[in-house]
Amino acid sequence: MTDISFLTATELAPLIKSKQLSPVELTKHTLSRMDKIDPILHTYITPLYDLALKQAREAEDNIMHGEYKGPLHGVPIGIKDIYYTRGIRTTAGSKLFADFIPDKNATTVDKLLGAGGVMLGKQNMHELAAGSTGTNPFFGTTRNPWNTKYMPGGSSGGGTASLAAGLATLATGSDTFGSIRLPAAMCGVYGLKPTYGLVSTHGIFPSAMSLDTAGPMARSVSDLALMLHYMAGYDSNDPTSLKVPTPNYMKNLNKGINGVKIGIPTYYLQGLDPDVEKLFKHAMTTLQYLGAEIREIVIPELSMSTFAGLLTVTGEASAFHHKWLQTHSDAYSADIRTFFLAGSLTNTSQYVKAQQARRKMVKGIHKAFEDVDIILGPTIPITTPAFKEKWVEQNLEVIRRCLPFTAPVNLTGVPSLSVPMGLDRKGLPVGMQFIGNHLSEKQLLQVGNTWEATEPLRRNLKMTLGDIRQAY
Amino acid sequence: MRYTNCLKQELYLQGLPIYEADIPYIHNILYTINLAQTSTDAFPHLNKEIPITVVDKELML
Repeated sequence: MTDISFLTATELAPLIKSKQLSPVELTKHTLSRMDKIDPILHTYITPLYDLALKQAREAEDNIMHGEYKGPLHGVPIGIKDIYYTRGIRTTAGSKLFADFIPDKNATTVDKLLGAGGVMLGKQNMHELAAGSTGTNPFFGTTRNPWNTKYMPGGSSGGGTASLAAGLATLATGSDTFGSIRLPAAMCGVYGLKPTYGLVSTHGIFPSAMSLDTAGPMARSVSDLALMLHYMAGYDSNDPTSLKVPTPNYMKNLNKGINGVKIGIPTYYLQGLDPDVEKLFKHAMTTLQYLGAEIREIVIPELSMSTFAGLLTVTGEASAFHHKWLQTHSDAYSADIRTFFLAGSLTNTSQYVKAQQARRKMVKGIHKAFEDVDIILGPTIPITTPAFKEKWVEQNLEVIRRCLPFTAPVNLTGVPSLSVPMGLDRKGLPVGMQFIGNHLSEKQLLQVGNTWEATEPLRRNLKMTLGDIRQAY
Repeated sequence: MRYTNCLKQELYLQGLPIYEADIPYIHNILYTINLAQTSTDAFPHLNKEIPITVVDKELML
């Protein structure tokens, strides 16, 4: 029988609904796996063994009494430790908030738990969602389950590593300059950065408020659609929340991509590691074979991504942390502290210029979408690096290389879906991203679903404890 | 050296901590930003664009 640790929520739901699989059995199985593997991988900061079992028992009781809530009912979910959870410490991966216990849930946590999801625990992350390697000197560095000498990516690396290792069925992430998509690419899972404002960020620690986006991460596109169905929607508590109707993301996922016009910006073909370039070329050929029309396009405004991205992220984050940097500077690790302090040394004129650049970039992206349906590029230009001893320098270097590829969608507010593209020569996953126009999540999911059917990793994500120990 | 002292002085004036080991990293980030800013030269009328802002509904009441 297939190991239930690696079934998707879409596969689990009918088993749970028809009472063939008990939510308690599923939760116990996952918790037991966490107990054995997580001391190696460090994907959770605060595992919630008792609470998860309590929620699973409640789900089971409901279902046995004919009160099935829907496809999330009884499904184990990991919550990034940047999402507020009432009565449960929420650290944002930071020593500064090591004892912070919120008195409310993030809106999205309420929505996922209200749909019957079982919260397994609070997941590890790069400190304050401001780094890309998954290094965390305070709560333990998350390791990539494909090879534990390598980084899982960040900042939502706890979530993506847990999905890759079968330590959660679904996970929540947040993406300010790539924090969902970058670790999804490095861990070989799926991650969606939605349109800015589509998913409430109320009750989520801010990083850079004009860029912060919450979104789903999973082992399949259909699971992303399922999560988005519950996570999206207007929230009066979030001033940036969009008041727009949301479609049924789960419907017509198998639409296919015949005739879909995909544009490859020349910008996304520059500076690629050889393995990334090779896999990306192969992916383009495959998409053409599947019926997509591929063409190269030029979006000159993307060249301002590094300037606008770095300026906005460091500037807004340093503004939020300024007081704490003055009074508790030793509570920050060096990579994050230097990143934020640099932001405090930029000036208002530069910040405004960056926001003008963003306006120009939005216009450039909209113009591109007059000719194509989807924009495609590698999620990041590099293959997953092994951890280096000089981790401060390494984090800043990974940001410098990857931010130009991930930040354009944050700067312009459009959605992006990162999918596995293949394995590099070291056997580690590489990702690519489908970028859509504002509120085109449904189309992105349909295209991503077609891509998923090609089995890009050619190897099931069903790592055993032995595999992970061997990699260790 | 002069630039390094300027960085330290700016941090000091804001009441921010000065860790000697941080300075090269801060310098590096600012250098990257300033180098990247040259990309805006290709758009001479950028100053006429309305800056993107987080529009708060309270501004519209």
